[in-house]
Amino acid sequence: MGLPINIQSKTVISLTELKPGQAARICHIPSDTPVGVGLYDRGVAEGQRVVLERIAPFGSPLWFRFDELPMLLRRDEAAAVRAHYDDEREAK
Amino acid sequence: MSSAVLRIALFGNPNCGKTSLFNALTGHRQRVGNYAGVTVERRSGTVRLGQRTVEVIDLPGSYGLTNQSPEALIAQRELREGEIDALVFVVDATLLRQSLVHFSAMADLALPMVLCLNMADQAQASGQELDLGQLERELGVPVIETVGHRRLGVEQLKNALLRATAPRSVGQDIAAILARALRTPAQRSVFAASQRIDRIVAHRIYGWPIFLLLMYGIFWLAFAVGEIPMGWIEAGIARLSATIAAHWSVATLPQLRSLILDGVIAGVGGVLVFVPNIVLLFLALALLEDSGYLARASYLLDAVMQRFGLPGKGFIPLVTGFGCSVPGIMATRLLEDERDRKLTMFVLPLMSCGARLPIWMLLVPAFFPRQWQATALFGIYSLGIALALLLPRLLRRTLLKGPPSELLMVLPPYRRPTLRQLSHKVSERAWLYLKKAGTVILAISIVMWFISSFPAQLPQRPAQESSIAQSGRQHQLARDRLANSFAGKLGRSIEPLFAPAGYDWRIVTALIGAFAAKEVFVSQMSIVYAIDGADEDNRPLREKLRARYGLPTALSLIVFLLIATPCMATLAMTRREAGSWRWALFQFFGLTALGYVLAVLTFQLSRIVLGG
Ligand SMILES: Nc1nc2c(ncn2[C@@H]2O[C@H](COP(=O)(O)OP(=O)(O)O)[C@@H](O)[C@H]2O)c(=O)[nH]1
Repeated sequence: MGLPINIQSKTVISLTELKPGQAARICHIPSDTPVGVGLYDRGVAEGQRVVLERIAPFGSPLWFRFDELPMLLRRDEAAAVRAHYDDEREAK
Repeated sequence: MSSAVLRIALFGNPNCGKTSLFNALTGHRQRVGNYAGVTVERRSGTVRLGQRTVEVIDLPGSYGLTNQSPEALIAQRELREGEIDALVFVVDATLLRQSLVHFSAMADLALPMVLCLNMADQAQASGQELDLGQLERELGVPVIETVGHRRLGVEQLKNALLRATAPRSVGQDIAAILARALRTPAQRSVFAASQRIDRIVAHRIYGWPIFLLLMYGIFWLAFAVGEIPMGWIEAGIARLSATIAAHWSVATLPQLRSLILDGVIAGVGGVLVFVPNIVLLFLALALLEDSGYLARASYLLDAVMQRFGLPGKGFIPLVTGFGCSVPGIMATRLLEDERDRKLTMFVLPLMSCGARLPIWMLLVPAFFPRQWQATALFGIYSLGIALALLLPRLLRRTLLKGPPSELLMVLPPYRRPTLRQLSHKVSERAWLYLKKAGTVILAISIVMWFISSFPAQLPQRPAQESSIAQSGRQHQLARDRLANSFAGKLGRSIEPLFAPAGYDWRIVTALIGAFAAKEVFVSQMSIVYAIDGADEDNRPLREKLRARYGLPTALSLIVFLLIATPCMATLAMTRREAGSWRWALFQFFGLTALGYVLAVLTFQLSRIVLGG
């Protein structure tokens, strides 16, 4: 269901590379892993906007907002999800 | 739907308000049990629908039917094989897009269905407007709105059930269908207020004192405030038993008298004293859970607990275990994952509970010089904590194999818990405890009474003696009775087994008693040493112990009492929460074996080191 995205022109990052307060758009969720399935089952999909709200004191879990929905992902869980910056200027 | 409907199932994501809706639908006509062999709860109830009484099953909440959690597997099995006549698919109206991804899988079941949009109050407050008629036409099922915790929309739900139909196959179009039915999308996020609160509650620094304060509050409420009604219950039981003792002479039916006084009343008393703790603790936990705070606690704790193979929320049942293992085990249902619940349950008795404090108060001053006593006590608690944190990883590598559960925790918005919901939860917990644990505990109490009072002639009431002589004599009688009882005999016959740990039959007999409740160890020891006032000042007993046993025995005994033989209430509760005797017995024998091995090691090593 992903949006027609030209990946080449955008910097693709993993969700763990976001800084608190930064937003991005999800472009790949690994559908064959438990984390990917879990995310789909919770209504998270490619094309959605994601914001990293904050990171817990020991570096995990990460507190995201997928569209509106706040969700905690452990660092290794978030690492597998790819996104690109909504606005390429944010990459800097 | 035809008039032949007999069974209706409720299904939905966790936190969609399904339980509230189920309660609203069935009122107090419900039964709570467990699915066999798993920690998953089974709820069913009845509701009047038109002319008939219909059974309603609250399926375990799960994100869809296709994941591999026991909840999803159970829901799937019930829906496929449970002869369900109609399905209520409950979704959170504020998260329609997220919840309806499961609609087509639900539709594939080809069951008559009603789509229930719960949390309609919040959806409305957010400014979302839906064309329900349009949604009904496109999905082919009745669509209704409810507010579960206020019991609004229940009549509409019942009416809708009478016209439930199998949904149309919508395939992947659900997003488009929803977009067409959405007259106005939400204008304000339902999470807006929560975001402001979270800036403080989930703050890197402020988050911790808030968490600690809440934890402290819970345990203060459950164990300090709980102490008060506990005292009343104990006094009431004591009065009851004194009244019976006064009116029932030892001469008439002495066996039965003893059964009732020392077996039944003592056993029931042992069950009842926990009730205030359980009620207050579950009130506090329900507040944490229903307000939405618990998910925030996970955020703070997950990384720490993960290192030990437990999820962040596992912290709460474990700390509860310092008060008492029984509510601690009941609190494991705060955890989402079956394996996490079982692991946490397993290690819970290692947290040194309140009932073990009298034991430490007896043993530590008896065997440690004053300046080492605090360290010893600290060491005991630390050993328990260390084992409770190390065992889960070990068990995950061996018995409960499989990848660790994912976190993927959806954070619900903060909500104000309702009184009705709190009282429902609390009374349900208390009742379950009384009914399920109570029966087992009572039965075991009677067995324990039997083995520690038989076979032995009951003492005749001694002729008038001075009260001191009389009390001394009674203590001797009690000692002889225990020594000659089955428990005493058992203690003697398994004495060789415990020789490598440094125990004699007296200790072993007292250990058998400690299975009834840990603190019984102290009273049994004072009986075998025929000493007065076990509760008040046990200096004489301490001196006798010091005279008879060396430090190696004391150390090994502490290790054994900390780790081995969880008490019968723990056993009963694990059985109830794990849904099978298997896990309960595994816990019992596993911890006992571990405790035994460590006790023997402690005894042998400390004998070498201390040259005993
Ligand atoms: N505002 C609002 N809150 C609700 C509604 N239904 C349930 N709740 C609250 O949502 C929380 C979760 O409800 P619960 O029934 O335990 O959800 P379950 O996990 O699906 O069983 C509780 O705090 C309820 O009080 C509703 O229709 N509106």
